Order: sequence, then structure tokens, then C-alpha cells
Amino acid sequence: MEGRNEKRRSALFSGKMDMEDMENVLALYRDLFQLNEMDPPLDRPPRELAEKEVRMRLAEGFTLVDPEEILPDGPELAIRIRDVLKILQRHSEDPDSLTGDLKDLIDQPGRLDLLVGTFLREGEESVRKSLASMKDVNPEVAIFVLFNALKVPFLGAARRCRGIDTTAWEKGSCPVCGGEPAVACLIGEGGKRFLICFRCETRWRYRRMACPYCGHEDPKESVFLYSEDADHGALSASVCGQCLSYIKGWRVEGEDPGELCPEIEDLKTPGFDRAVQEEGYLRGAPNVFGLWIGSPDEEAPDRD
Amino acid sequence: MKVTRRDFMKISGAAVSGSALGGLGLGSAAVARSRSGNVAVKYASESTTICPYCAVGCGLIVSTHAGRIVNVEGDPDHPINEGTLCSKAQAVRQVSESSWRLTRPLYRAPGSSEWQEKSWEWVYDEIAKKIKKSRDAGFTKVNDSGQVVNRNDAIASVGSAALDNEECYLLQKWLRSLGLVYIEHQARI
Repeated sequence: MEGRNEKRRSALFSGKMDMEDMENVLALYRDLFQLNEMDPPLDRPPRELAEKEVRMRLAEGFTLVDPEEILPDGPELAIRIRDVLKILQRHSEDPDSLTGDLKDLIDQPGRLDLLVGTFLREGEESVRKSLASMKDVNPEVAIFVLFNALKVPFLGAARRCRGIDTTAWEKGSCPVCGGEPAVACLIGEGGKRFLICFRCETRWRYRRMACPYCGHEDPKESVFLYSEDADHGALSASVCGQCLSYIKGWRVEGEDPGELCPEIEDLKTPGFDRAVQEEGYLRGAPNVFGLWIGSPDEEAPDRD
Repeated sequence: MKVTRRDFMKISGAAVSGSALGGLGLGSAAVARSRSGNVAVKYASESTTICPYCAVGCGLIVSTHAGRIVNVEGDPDHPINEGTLCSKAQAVRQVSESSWRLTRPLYRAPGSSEWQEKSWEWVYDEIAKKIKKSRDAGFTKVNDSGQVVNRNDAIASVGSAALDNEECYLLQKWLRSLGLVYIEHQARI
């Protein structure tokens, strides 16, 4: 992960990125990246796992870390949320309109804990429902803030799990935190597929022909979409005919992902997402900001 | 009624649409839209299969677009080759896509330099006639010591690694019924 961070830092701060028309998005990510790097280690680190327990958990399909074990306490979480909000306001065209009732929520640790618990256990759909009664709270802002404020504990947990052999893990979700994979990389001569969780940034091996979101696998036919556009040469989207989800993946020569930073590449290619979604497929996990990209309002077309 | 995520996203409409980043006040929704306008995607599909060449049986992933093979690579999840391929297998696409691929039987008569296109029926009949002729001419019922051998020294067979177990069994039965003793297999050569 350190190597990957180095590459990302170099990509983000070298000024060589071809993202002129999305500079505001990149600048936001740059600040969040720095915040995550600066944040002190957690006061509640995940407990150490014995080798036998690691083996058992992976083989039985239990994640290495229970997200609720690593959650910061209410006041600490409130500080993190304020930090993320400050960054967002710095980049927003209308900073005052962002918070609404969210500001009050942050000052009520009990309610905040409840919301975070809902976010982790039931996902963002439930958060949206919980927020429905709150005045002037944009759900995108709330989800963005929660996702990014919780990132440091998850990164810390993943750091502690670094070096653990996750070969026995057969699920499409993250072996460390249980998050859904956001993107994939096809690495090396054999095109081994690695999935990447944007919550804790863990990378793990997964079957090439299977859908990571529903597990459906059809060796006779696995459909993918690609573009002949030069900007999207190494990019494709594996789509699932069963659950209609898709996952973006980059093909990388050699065994090392090299200069590829999937988080940034994903931000750079929203147009590809939209094109795939216009074919009727849904993105399986949000982007590195914790937000969904595109407009999933069509059913998958009949491709006979 | 169970509401799936797809249904939910449809219901919430604009809230989770392309304006997600715009919802943060970044003013980037228009950017996302303008970029998307230029991206045209194409469908392709991948299927797993086994290399037809040798007896190792390496796993392949074959990518096709509009019914034509566009790529062949090793299957990283196949236990035999784990994604690697020999140089011959890497070129296996040519079996299907080469412009030199034969799609109809060709026959060159003895002494001729010209190939003639023939029907499969004609070819089957000719092969059967030649096998019968060679078998009858070369069949030995009793050897020099007077022992019954019922063998045919005039025909030999070289089996292909592309044959599976069951096909090899049937081939062996058939060859033995003709009295063949020279039965060899590609994998041993």
C-alpha cells in the first residue's frame, strides 16, 4: 500500500495529469488524500488476529476486521467529519448551502453514532431514508462526508492486515472490511483479476469470469464493454447479465500495476461509466469519494 | 415488495444521477456529461475453453466481437496453466481466423498439381474405400509360425492430443477392429 500511495502522491502532485477539465475534482481528491495521510493512528486499533483465526475467517467467509470494532468514538468522529466538511467547503461553489441540519447532527454524538452505524450495517440507502426528515441536508454531501470521515480507520485496519495471504478468500467483497469492490485490475501475462476496495484500499484476487457483486459465473459467456477511444484503451467494464452490475477494470502489462492509480483513473473516466450505464448497467460500488457516478435509469437492453 | 438497489436508484432519480458530484457544489456535472458524450462502447464477450493442441489441456479465455475472435489469452483461474500459454497456444486464434484456414475439403489427385474442391460425402466415401482397400491388401490372418494374428501391417494411426478420453477409447476400438497394431499418439512423439 505504501508503494501505491507513493505512486498516487506522485500522480496527484506532479502536475502531469491530463485532467484539466476536472481540476476541481482532482483538487478535492488531493486534499482528502493529504488528510488521510496526516491523520494520527486510531485510538481503537483492530485487535491482533492469530494465524489460525485468520485462516479460519478467510476460509469461512468472515472479513478480517469487523467495521464496528474500529470505529472512532463520537467526539473523534465529529472532528473527522468537520475536517472533511471543511475540505469540501473549500472546493464548493456554494459552501454555506452544504451543511444544513448536518451541522447540528455532528454536535449530537448519539445521533451521529446511530447514523454511522446505519451507514456501515445497512448501507447508504438506509442513510438516505434516515436523512429524509432532516432539513436542507443533501444526501450526497452526507454520504460523501461519512464515507471520507470513516476512511482513516479503514485504511488503518487494512495496513494492519497487509501481508496476510488472502488466497483462501473466495468472495467478491473485500476480505478486510467487507466493502464492495469499486474497480478491478487485470495484471500480468495471465490477466489475473484483482479487485480494489475504495473504502480500505485493499486489493485481492478474484475469479475472472465471475461477477463480484452477485457471484454469478458463466464460463460459456462473460460480457464486457470496451471503447476504441484512445483515452480508454486499457479500460473495460465487465457486466453481469444476472444482477446488471458492472465493474470497471484496467489491463496492466507485467506483474506490477506500475503507474496506474485506479482511484484517479476512475475519477478521470466518468464518461465511460455513463456510456456503460446508458446500456442499462449499474455501477457495483461508488467511486473514491463514496459517490455513485452516472444515471442508472434504464433497464439492460436486449442484446439478441 | 422488495425494493432492489436498482429500483431505489430509479426512485431517487436525480439524487444519485450524474449530478452526484455536482451535488457537492463542485460544478462538475457538466464536465462529466461533456466527457461522456464522446465515449462509444462496444460489446464483446469472453468464454473459457481448452487449447486444442497438446495433451496438457491449458485453459483459454477467448474474446469475441460480432462472432469473430478478437483475442485469446491464458485463463488465470485454470489450475493447469494459471494464465500462461506456450507460443503455439498464443497463436491459436489463427485456427479460426487465418485467411489460410480450409473451410471445405480439397483433393489433389495422384500426379496432379491442382487442388479440387470436393464435398464431405465424396471425401468420406473415398477415405472409406482406401481404408478398405489397404486393409484387405495388408491383412494377415496367420503368421509364419501358423499362429492366428488377425493383424493389419498396412495402416498406422497417429492419434491427436485434441481427442478426449472417450474419443480415444472409440478410436482404439475401431482401429483394433481393423487389425491395426501400429497405433501411436501425438503426446508420445
